[in-house]
Amino acid sequence: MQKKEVKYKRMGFFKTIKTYRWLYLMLIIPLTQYFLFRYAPLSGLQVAFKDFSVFKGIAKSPWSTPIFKYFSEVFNSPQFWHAVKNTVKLNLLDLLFGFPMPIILAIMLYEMNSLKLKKVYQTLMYLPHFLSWVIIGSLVAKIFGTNGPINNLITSAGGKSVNFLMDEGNWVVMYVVTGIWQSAGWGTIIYLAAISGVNTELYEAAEVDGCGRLRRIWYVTLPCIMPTIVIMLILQLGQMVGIGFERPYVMMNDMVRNSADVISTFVYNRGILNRQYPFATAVDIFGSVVNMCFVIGANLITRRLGEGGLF
Amino acid sequence: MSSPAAVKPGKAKGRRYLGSEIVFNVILTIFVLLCVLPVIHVIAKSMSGRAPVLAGKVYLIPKELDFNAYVSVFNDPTMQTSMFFSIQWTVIYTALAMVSTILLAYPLSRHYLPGRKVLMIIVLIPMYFTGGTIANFLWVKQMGLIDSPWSLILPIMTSTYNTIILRNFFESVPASLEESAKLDGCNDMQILLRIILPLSTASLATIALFYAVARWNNYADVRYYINTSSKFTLQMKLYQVVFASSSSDVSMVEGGKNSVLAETIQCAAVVFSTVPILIVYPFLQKYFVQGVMIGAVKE
Repeated sequence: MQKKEVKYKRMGFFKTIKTYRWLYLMLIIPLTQYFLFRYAPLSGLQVAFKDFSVFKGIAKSPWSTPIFKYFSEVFNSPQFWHAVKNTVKLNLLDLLFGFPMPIILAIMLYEMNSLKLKKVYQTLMYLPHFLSWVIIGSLVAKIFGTNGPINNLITSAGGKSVNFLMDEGNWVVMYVVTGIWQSAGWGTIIYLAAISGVNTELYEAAEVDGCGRLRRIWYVTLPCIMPTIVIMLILQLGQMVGIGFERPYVMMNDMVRNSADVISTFVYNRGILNRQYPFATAVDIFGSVVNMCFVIGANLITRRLGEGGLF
Repeated sequence: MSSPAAVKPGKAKGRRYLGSEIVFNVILTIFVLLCVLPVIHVIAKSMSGRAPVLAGKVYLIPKELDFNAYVSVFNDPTMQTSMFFSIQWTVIYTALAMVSTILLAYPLSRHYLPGRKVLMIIVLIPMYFTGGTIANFLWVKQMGLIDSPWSLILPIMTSTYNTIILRNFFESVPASLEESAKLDGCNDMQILLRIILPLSTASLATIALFYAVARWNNYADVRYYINTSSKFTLQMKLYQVVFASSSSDVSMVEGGKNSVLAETIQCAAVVFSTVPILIVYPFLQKYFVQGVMIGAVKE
C-alpha cells in the first residue's frame, strides 16, 4: 500500500482528479450530508453568546453583553447544578453496578458445558438491547406500577405495596436496574470475544498446577481479559457527563423530577419546550466541552497503559 | 464461540466442578428469566379479560382469554397511521442511509486515494464533537424541516460508526479482483457496483439492519422535531398511549374510560410495537453479533 502512494505522488492536481474522478464523485452525497448536518449546525453554537430572537435569526441577533451573560446565568442556576449532580450520580451508579455485570455473565456463559443451552441463553439475553426505551419504559411502568404484578405479589403475601416509581430513592434503583437489564446481556459479547481469545494452554497449565475452576477464572481468565476490561472502563469513564435523553425521559415522572432531571432532559425542557435557546445552548456547550476533556483524558490514559489509545 | 477442541476438556471439567456448575447455571437462568418475563407478563395481560386484570391476578398466563384489546388497537386509525408512518420512513431512511454509507465507505477503503487521510479526519471529528441538541434543533428549524419527516432522516443519514465497519469489510475484498476489473476497462463506480457490493451482501445486510432498528427505536428526535400527530412514529404514539393515558389519549379507544380496559389496551399497544422487532430479531441477532465483533476489531 505504501508503494502505491509513492507511485501516485508525482501526479499533478488535475491528473489526480481525473484519474480518481469516480471515487471523488461518489463522495458528493455523503460529504454534503456531513457538511450540511454535522458541520453547519455548529454555527448554531454562537446562539449561546447572543440575545437570540427568532424573528431576526441567528446571524442578525445582537451579541449579548457581557458576552458570557448566558453562561453566567447557567452557572448561577441551581437547577443546572442539580442536573449536573444527577447526571454524575446516575452515571457513577451505572458504572458501579452496571459495569461488572457483563463481565460476570460472560465468564459464566463461557464456563457453561452445554453449548446448546448457551446459545439459547445468549439469544434471550440480547433481546432487551433491541427494545426501544419507550417499550422498556412501558414494561417498567406496567410491572412496577401500583397495580403491577410485583406489588400484587407483595400485597397478597401480606406486605404493604411499594411505590417503586414515584419515590425518589426507589426510582434511582429502578433506573440502574433497568439499565443493567437492557445492556448487561448485550455487553457480554465483547467480553466473550476476549475470553475465547485466551490461550487454552494456560487453562491446561493452571489445571495441572491444581487450580480449581474458580481459581482458574481468577488467576487466568481475569488477567487475560484485563486489557479489554480497562478499555471498556475508560470508555465509560469518558462518558461521565454525557447521558442519553431517552432513558431518563421515559422513566421520569413528576414525583421524581428532582432526582431524575439530568443534563439532556434539562436542555430539552429549557431549550425546546421553553425556547430559552441561548441558555440551553450554553448548557450544551458546557456538556460538550467537559465531555471532550473526559474523552481526551481517557484516551491519554489508554495510551499510557500501552493499549494503543482509541484514536 | 469455543472451538471443538475446547469442548472436551470442558465436559471433563463439568463432572469435576459440579458445585460451581450448578451455581453458574442457576445465576444465568435467573438472569435470562428476568430478561424474558417482563415481556411475557405484558403479553399475558394484553390477552386477558377485564376482571382478572382488575383483581391483579394475571402474572404470566393470560386469564379469561380476550382479544378485544387488540381489536381496539388495530382498529384505532391513529395507531394504524403511526404504524404505516414508521414502516414507510424506516424503509426510506434505511435505503438512503445505505446509499450514503456505501458511497463514503468505498472511497475511504481505497488506500491509494489521494486525500483519504483528510477525508477520514472530516468523518471522525463529528464523533467527538457535536453541536448538541439545541444547535441541531435550530439548524433543522432554519432548514425548514421542523415537522417534516425528513428531519428524522437527513440529520442521521450517515453513521460514522457504520461507515467504518463497512470500510473494514470493503478493505478485506482482495485487491486483485479490482485490478483485473480495471484492466477490463471498468471504472471505479462499475467496480463498486459489479464486484465489491455483490461480494459484501452479508455485511450490507448487517449495516442495513443496524440502520433500520436504530430508526425504528429512535424516539428523541421525533420528540424534538415533530409536532403533528399524523407524523408520530409508533414509538411516539406508544409513549402517549402508555404515559399520557390519564389525558385525552385514552379516549382514542371507545371504551377507554374504564381504567382496566385501558390497562389491557396499553399492554396490547406495547406488544403491537414490539412485534416488528421480534419478527426480525432472529436475523438481527446473527448479524448484529457479527457487526459488533467486526467493529470491535481495531484497525
